[in-house]
Amino acid sequence: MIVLSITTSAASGGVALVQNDTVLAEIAHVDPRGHAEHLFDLIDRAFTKANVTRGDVQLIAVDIGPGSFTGARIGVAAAKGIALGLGVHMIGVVSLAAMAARLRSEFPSQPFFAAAIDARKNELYLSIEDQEGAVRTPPCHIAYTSIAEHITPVIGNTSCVSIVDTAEHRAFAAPFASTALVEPPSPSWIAKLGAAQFLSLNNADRAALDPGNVVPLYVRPPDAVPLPAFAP
Amino acid sequence: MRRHPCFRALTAHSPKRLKSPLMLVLGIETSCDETAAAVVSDSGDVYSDVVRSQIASHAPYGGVVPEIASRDHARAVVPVVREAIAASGFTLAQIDGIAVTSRPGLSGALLVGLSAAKGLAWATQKPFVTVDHLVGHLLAVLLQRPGSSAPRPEYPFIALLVSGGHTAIYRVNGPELSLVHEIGATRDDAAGEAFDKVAKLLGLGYPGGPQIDRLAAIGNAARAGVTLPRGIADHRSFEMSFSGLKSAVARHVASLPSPPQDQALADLCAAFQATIVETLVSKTVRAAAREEVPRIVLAGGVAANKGLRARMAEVCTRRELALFVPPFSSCTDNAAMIAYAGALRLSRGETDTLSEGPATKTALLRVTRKGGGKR
Repeated sequence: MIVLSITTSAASGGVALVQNDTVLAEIAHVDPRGHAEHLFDLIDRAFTKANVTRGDVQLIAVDIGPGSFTGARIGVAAAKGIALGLGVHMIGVVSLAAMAARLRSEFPSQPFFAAAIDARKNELYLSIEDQEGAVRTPPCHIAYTSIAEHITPVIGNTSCVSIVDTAEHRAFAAPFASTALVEPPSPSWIAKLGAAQFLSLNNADRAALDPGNVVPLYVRPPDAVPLPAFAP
Repeated sequence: MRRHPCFRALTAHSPKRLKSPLMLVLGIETSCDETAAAVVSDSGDVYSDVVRSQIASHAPYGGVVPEIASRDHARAVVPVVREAIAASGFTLAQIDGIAVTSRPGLSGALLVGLSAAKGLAWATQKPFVTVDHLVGHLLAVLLQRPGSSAPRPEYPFIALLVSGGHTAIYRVNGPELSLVHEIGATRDDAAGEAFDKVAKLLGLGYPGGPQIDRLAAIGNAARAGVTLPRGIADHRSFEMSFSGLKSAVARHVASLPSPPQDQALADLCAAFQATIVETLVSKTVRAAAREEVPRIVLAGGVAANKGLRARMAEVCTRRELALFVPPFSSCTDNAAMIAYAGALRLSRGETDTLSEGPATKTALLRVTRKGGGKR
């Protein structure tokens, strides 16, 4: 099965073409304000590099965040258009889950995996998974400074590996982690995790993987404040 | 959804429509608070026109919240596009091109439609064009909706484009950007914005235009007991200003012992609406006289205002000007006008690359000085 993946929820983004866990092409770029302008050029380059055609793609896997609201929407909307145009399934992959999945493959002996990504306003999006991939802390937004309060109760006396998306956050994560990596969600891991999730579903559940059903995972609500008459 | 009468004839000779070459375009519009998609031909025939309004999402905030608009677009874009294709009677494969609004608008909202349209165009290898939302509004009067035989103006025409985000008078010599000339525009608030802001301070809810229009019809401006300023009333200028008018209403309401109710409220709405309408009508009619163009077109959501329509019709009749008022569905934001403007671009051989980004401002050349507020 050939999977086309798209990730635009972080400052760096990219696309990958992956076939049965083999990465045929992976192209990343760094330009937080230019995802919309660059995305289809990256896609064309990936197809050329992988030497496959549009019609070969059977699944679109897209990073749904958490991350930049607008960034995630660019990738999700583009993926919707592609899935609708090609008539193929589309699956949303949580950015933090793709980061954790990568850690699990690189550090298989570790019991816990924490993934964090910049949420602005001095906050991080955080989630923690265990060795089996079960989610121990679902994606949430927390203050930089409260990372200990969120990691320690989950991992207890054991250690974890963490992955963060900027060097700035490494300092907060390092005390609780045996290894701190600085990596955004990678396009090929979005594809691999999307494919794994797709293959784990039965046919009825796969039928629900429709481009109309995938929405970004924002975690944080919009900032707007309702008028007094509408306040809860 | 109604199908166009020639739908049967077309599909009978489908798929290639050899006899009469016709370009069918899918248009997508997400520039503000409507998610819309439509299938229209380059002759202006509307085969489908689907609009999903977000009014209910924004009403609690008294105005459009950009992040909420973007979230709603991301949820709605695929169902709306599917509905537009299904209702057109054609299949995606039969559509010749994809058009999308790329400017002006909320950039986060524009990005949803733009990205989805690019994805569709890339996957289907169909030509892709971007459309300036304002050009779409100006050409909406040329759409041929099923069952409607409303006359279409010839070029050139004078257009008053008046909505929640834009207020300007144009001379339209043809359907291309370079053939549309701004004669005058607001320096600050759009007229629709003034309606919304005044409705908010009068406690009339959002959107405010229809409420004020309804109350103005039963009110008497002369009885309101307030003189409201007509911004840039100088008859030589085609520029407009509505922020002072809004402030004057706010000051008047603040000077009253209690907020106006019932008849007093209706009278104040009548005075406010009459002031805006008089500015819009007099400047548009004078533009037609200066340009020696006897055709006036109304465009944009505020063109649905009954007070504006009635006053414009009255003055046009007196001055022997032909007035073209599109149906309500062509005035408010819709994708049919985007698909049509895109179809005309495609039929001229124009296309855009998939590296096109959104822009918050129109590509139409401005002649009006900009004040502190937005246009």
